[in-house]
Amino acid sequence: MTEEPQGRELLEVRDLTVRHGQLVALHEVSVSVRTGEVVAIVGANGAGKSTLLRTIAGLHKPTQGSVSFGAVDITDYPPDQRVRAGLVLVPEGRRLFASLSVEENLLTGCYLKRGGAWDLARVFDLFPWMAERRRQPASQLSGGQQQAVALSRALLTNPRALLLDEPSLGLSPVALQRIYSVLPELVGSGIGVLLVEQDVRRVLRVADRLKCLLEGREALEGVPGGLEIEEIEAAYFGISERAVTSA
Amino acid sequence: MTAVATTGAVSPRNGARSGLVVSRSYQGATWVGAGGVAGVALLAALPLFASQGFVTNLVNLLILVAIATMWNALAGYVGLVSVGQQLYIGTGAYIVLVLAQNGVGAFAGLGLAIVGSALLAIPASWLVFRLSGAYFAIATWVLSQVAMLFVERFTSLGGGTGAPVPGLDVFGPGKLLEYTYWAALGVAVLSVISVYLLLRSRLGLVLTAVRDNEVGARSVGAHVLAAKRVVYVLAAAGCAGAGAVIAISTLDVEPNNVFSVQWTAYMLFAVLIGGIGTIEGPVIGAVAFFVLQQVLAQYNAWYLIVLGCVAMAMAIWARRGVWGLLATRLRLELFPVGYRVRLEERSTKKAGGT
Amino acid sequence: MTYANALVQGLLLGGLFALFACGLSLMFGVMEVINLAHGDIAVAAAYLAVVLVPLTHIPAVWIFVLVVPAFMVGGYFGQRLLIQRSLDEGPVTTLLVTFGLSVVLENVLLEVFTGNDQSLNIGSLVSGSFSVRGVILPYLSIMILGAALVALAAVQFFLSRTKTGRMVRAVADDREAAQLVGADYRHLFGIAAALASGTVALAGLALSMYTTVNPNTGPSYLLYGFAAVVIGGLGSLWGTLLGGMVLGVAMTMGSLVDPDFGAMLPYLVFLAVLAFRPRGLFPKKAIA
Repeated sequence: MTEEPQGRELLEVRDLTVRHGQLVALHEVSVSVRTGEVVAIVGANGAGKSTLLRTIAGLHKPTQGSVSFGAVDITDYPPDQRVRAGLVLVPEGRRLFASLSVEENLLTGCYLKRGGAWDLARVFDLFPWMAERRRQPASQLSGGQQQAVALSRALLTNPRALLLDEPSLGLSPVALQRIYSVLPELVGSGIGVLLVEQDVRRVLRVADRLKCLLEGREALEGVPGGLEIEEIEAAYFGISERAVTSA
Repeated sequence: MTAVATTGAVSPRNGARSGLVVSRSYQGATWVGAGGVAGVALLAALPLFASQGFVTNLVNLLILVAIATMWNALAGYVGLVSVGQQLYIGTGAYIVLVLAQNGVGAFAGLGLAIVGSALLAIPASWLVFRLSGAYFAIATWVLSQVAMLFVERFTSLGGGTGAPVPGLDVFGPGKLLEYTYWAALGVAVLSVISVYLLLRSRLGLVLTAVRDNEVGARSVGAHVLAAKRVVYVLAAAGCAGAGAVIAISTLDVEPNNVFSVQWTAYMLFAVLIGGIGTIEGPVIGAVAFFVLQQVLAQYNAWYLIVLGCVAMAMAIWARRGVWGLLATRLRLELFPVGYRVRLEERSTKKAGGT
Repeated sequence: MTYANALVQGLLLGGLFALFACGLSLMFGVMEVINLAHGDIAVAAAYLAVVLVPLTHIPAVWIFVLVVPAFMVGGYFGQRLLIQRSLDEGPVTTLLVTFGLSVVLENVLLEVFTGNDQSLNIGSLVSGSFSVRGVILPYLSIMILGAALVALAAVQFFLSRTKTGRMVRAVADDREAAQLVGADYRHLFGIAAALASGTVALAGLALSMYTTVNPNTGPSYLLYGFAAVVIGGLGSLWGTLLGGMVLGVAMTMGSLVDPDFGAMLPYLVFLAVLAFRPRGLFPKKAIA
C-alpha cells in the first residue's frame, strides 16, 4: 500500500473555503484523488470532514476555491450535474428512500443511465442477500444492510469517483468488514475513492494517502506508512508537536 | 430588524477604543412622535375643509390601513398567514347590524363589534392553532366560509342578500360621513398604535424572536403560543373594527361583500408592497395600493391584476417591500421598536480609517 | 328511499371532489406546497373548454384531449417559473404567491369573460339516468366518477411503475439524497405540478358539465379539494377518493335539509376532522 499510485488525476480540490453563516467550516482545504486511489480524510467531530465531502458533491456552495473533476471545473455545477459527470457521494447516515423498496432504491441509481460495468445483476452478485429482500421496504433493513444498499445505489450510477462519508457509522464489526471488503474491487476497476472516517486505525489499512482536518483546516498530510499513529492522533486532537515529542 | 442593524457601522478594526451604546430611541424620535400627533390631528380636522368625495375615499384608505396593519401583525411577526381575516370583517359588520336592528346606535355598536369579535376569536384560535402553515391558512378560510353560510341562514339578517343598517338616517348625510370618517380614523390609528405598543411590550421581544426564527425562539423558552394567540385576537379586533366601519359607510351588510376573500387580497397586497414585518410597511403599502386603485379605477378589475402581479414579484424578489428599500437607504425608522447598538468612539479616529 | 338516493349521489359526487383533491395531495406530498390557486386553475380550464368547443367542433365530452395536455404543459412551466422561485424563498412566500396567483387568475377571467355563469354543453347526457330499485344513477355522475378512477389509477401507475415516477417519490422522501443519485429536483417538481394541473383541469371540465362555473367558483372547490385531502389522510392518493366521498355524502345529505346547509355541512365535517383527527380518517405516510 505504500507504493505510489499510478493513476491519472481525477478529482482536484483547491483552497476550498466554506462558511455556514458566520462560522468558517472549512478554511483553504485542498485535496486530490487519482484513479484507482483511496484518499482518506480523518478528523474529530466538527473538523469539517462532512462539509468537505458535501461541498465536493455540490450540496454546499464554497465562498472560495475550486473543484475540478476530470480536468473540468465543476465548482458551479449543481449536485445532479456532478453525478452526471461521475462524481457520487454516499451520504452520512445512508439516506435511503424510506417509502421505496430495496430494489426501487437501487433503481434510483440507474436513473441517469450513465452506462458502465455496474448493473443490478452485479450488485446482487456482490450482496446476494439483496436479491432475496428486494421487495422489502428499505426502512426495514439493518444498519449494515442499509449501508450496503446506499453503496450499491451509488455504484449503479457507475461513478468515476466515490465520496464515502463515514460508512462505518453505527455498524457492527462484521457489517463494517463486509463494506470495506468491497473497496479493493472498486479501486481495481479504476474508481477513485475519497473516504471520510473517524477511526484512524481502520483508515490506515485501506488508504493510499491520508489527510487530517482540525477545526476546518489541514493539520497533517502523508502516506500511511510514513506516519506514526501518535503523529496522526496529535494532529487529530490538535495537540502541539512539542507535547507529542515530550510524551 | 429594519434599519436598526445598519446604524453605527464603524469598523472596530480602525483601532479606536470604543464602547457599545444600546438605546431604543434615536435622536429624531421625538420629532417623529410630534409629527405623528400633528399628522393625526390634521387628519382628524380634514372633514372640516376637504370635499365629501375626498373624505369618502379616505374612509376606504383608513379601512385598508387598519386591516393591512392587522394582517401584517399576523404574518409579519408571528408567521401566521391567514387567508380568512374576512371572518372578522364579517362578524364586525354583522354585530353592528344585529345591534342596530335592536335599537343600539351604530357607533356604539362599533365598540361592541370589536369586543365581541375578539371574544369570538378565542375559541376560533383553539381550532385553527392546531394547524400550521398552509393548513392554518386554509382553516381560517374555511371558518369564514362557514360563518358566511351560517349568517345567510337567518332571514332576519336578510339571508343571502343582506340587510340595511337601520337608524343611520338620524345623522343626515354630511354628519354621517364625518362620524364615519372619524370612526375609520380611530380604528386605523388604534390598530397601528396597538401593534406598536405590543411590540414595545415584553411580549414584543418574543414576537420579534418568532419572526426571525421560530425554532430559536422556542428553544429559549419564549411563550410562542401565547404570543400568537394575543396577536390573533388583536387582529380579529382590528378587522372587526374595520368591518363595522364598512357596514356603517356602505349603509348595509351583504354577506358576499363582508365575508369576501377579496379583503384578504387587499391586505395581503398592501403589506407585500409596503413591506412585511415592519409597522410602517403596511401603512405605506395601503397608501400605495389605494393610489394605484384610484389611478387604475377606469380599467375595472385590471388594477387587481396589476397589483397582484406586483405583489407576487415583490414577495419573491423584494421581500422587504417599498419601506424596506427606503429604510435601508435612508436609515429610517419611524416607530422605534428595536434596539439600536451604536459604537461610541473614545479616541480619535485614525487617519485614513473608513 | 330519499336517503338511499342521497347516499348514492354523494358517493358519485366523491369522484368530482377526488379530481380536485388529487393534485393538491400530490403537490403537498412531493414538495409540501399548497397551491391556493388550485381551484382557479380548474375554472380556467373550464373557460378554455368553453372557448375551444365551438372553435374546434370537438364534442364537449372529448375536449379534455386538448385541454388536459395544455394544462399539464402550463403546470410544468408555472412550477418552474413561478412556484419554484417562491419555494426557494420559503413556505410563507409560496402561500403568498399562490394566493396572488389565485386573485390574478380570477380577475383575468372576470375581465375577459365577464362574471356570467358558463357551462359546457354536453347535450342529453346531462339529464340522462337509469335507476336500480328506485335509486337514480345519472350517466354524467357515473362518467365523472369513472374519470376520477381512471385519473387516480394513471397517476398511481406513473408514480409506482415508471422510472420518472419512482424518482418523484424519491425526491418526496429525501430531496438531497435524490440529488445525490442525479435527480434534478426542480424538473421532478415540475412533473408533479404538471400532473396536478392536468388532473385539476379535468376536474374543472367535469365541474362545468355538472353545474355552472364563474370566475369566483375556484376558491370553494379549492377548499372542498383540500378538505378531501385532509379527511382522506394527507399524501394518500386513494384516500382522496374516500375523503371526496365523505364530503359528497355530507353535501347531498345536508341538501336534504336545505341547499345552503348542503354547502355548509362538508365544511363542518372538515373542521370536525381537523379538530379531532388532524391526521385524517384514513392516514397513510408516503405518497401514492
